[in-house]
Amino acid sequence: MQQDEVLAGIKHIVAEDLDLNLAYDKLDETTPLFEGGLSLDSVILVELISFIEKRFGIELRDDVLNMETFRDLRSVAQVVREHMAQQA
Amino acid sequence: MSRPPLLAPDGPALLARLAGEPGLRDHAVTDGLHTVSYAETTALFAELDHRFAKAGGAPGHPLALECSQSTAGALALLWVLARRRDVVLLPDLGEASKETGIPRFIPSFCAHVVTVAAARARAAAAPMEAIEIAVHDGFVAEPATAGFAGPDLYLRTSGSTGLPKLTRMSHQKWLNNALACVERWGLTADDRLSVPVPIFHSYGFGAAFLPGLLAGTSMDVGSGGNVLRYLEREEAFDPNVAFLTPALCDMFLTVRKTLRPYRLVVTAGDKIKRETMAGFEPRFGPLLNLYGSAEMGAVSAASPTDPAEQRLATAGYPLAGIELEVEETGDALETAAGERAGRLVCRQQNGSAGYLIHDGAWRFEPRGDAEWFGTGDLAKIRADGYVEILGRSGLSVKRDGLLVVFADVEMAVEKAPGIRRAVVVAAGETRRGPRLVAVCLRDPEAEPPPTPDAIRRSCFDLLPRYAVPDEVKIVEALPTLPSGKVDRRAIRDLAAT
Repeated sequence: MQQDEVLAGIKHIVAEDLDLNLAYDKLDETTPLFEGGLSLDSVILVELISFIEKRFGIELRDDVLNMETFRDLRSVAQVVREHMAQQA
Repeated sequence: MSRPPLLAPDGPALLARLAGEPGLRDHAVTDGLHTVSYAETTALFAELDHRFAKAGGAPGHPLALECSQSTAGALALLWVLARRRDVVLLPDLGEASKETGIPRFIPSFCAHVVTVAAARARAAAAPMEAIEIAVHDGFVAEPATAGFAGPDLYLRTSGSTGLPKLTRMSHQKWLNNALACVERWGLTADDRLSVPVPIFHSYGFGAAFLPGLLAGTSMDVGSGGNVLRYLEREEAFDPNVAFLTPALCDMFLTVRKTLRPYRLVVTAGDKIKRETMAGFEPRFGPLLNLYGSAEMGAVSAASPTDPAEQRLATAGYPLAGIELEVEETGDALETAAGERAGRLVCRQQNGSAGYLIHDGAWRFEPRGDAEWFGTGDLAKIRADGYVEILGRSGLSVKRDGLLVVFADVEMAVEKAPGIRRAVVVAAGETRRGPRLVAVCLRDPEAEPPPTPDAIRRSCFDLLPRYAVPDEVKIVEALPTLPSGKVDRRAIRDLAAT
């Protein structure tokens, strides 16, 4: 899968699967997911993780469940790509 | 059946013991950024005394503490307890206020405001830098707060509408109540407590923070409700006891892949899903339900020595000094042999002294210790005394641990164009709590006709996220009772389909 496809897939999840009332074109890969950005709450965050695992067929390891991974959509995409490479 | 209440040391005696006793004095409160050992508190309290005196203002009146989930917030709270000050305990709304538009609330009878802003606590080099003490500009001496033995702690009761309302309960009663929690869970000084739940709300303050102090434990208050931050703090602090919300328990189950057993995990605030309870224990350790309120403190809790069957299905049994009863309701509640079901009422000596209510001026509405307090919940009491909480009995539910009053949601939904009337009911469960369905009567003349999607989207601007209905249904007619009132039971059936 191309780099941009992973990012696009995550943007689709945020825009369509998550209950956020956000449009796809309004999403920027550098927008912070928490303070000063999308202000995701924990319920939405957990849904985001579940949707990502389902869509990309991966299991996010406990050691990547941190604020660094979920800084913005780009950092999430990076971790997803790493998992896809390892868990393929 | 109920045992006599326990008597805890008072605030000054407790803090003196923590600061002086070998084996306790090196224990600490931390948030990951700052750590304060109990031994250090003596000198820090003296500095806060100095700042308080320097601020000036009228002595002998309550102070407002705008607290945050931080070491600095905990330190300010410890100082209030050590100095026996009357205090109105409030969340610091600094950042939240801008996002949610919730105005800052400082009762007029507070002569001082102590603010521990979360942003400031994060940026400060030392926790003392994050504690601001100022005279309250809008201070007015109120007879309603004078003449009590005290010291008292006031908490704003949950509720999204209505008049400002505070419960008043003495420090001593909070401490006595917390000692019953220490006993129930067998907390000792060697335990390491993770406290992500707010220490300025009744659960975090009364059932986690105070019991931790009474047992002399180290505590981590650094993570808040964010599961990622929680996992980071867990790794660093290595707790063996945790105080979680059902939502956090649920998140553990969904996102964590490895086992991480705790000695015990306490949860409170909402009715937890059975599947969560059953899935949680094998991976994270005994999960203990706690039931309580701002008015009664901790009321009933499971114990780690209870058989799993009791633990998973109930909120344990009443704590020392607490009596629980149920009153008959019109609802047909299913009961097994020996069980009683109905509206849960509670009686104890360590409950609140009453409410301070603001309707033009502050007035005090006292509550006697001998009076039965209506909890507003439906419950079953089993033959062996274990209590099963069934849910709110009124037209409200808890979501994300916060009260959602149906009338508020209905009002917001009715602002959408083309809607004549909205009725909100709970049907099913979500991660936030009961699933909210808004059943809407449309205006047949409306052009264009309203769509469920548009109505729901409009709610995002009018309601906090946890109060936005999960589903909107549009109907041509609302079912009514012979009296003409809407038939909520029929609407609930409609919503469930």
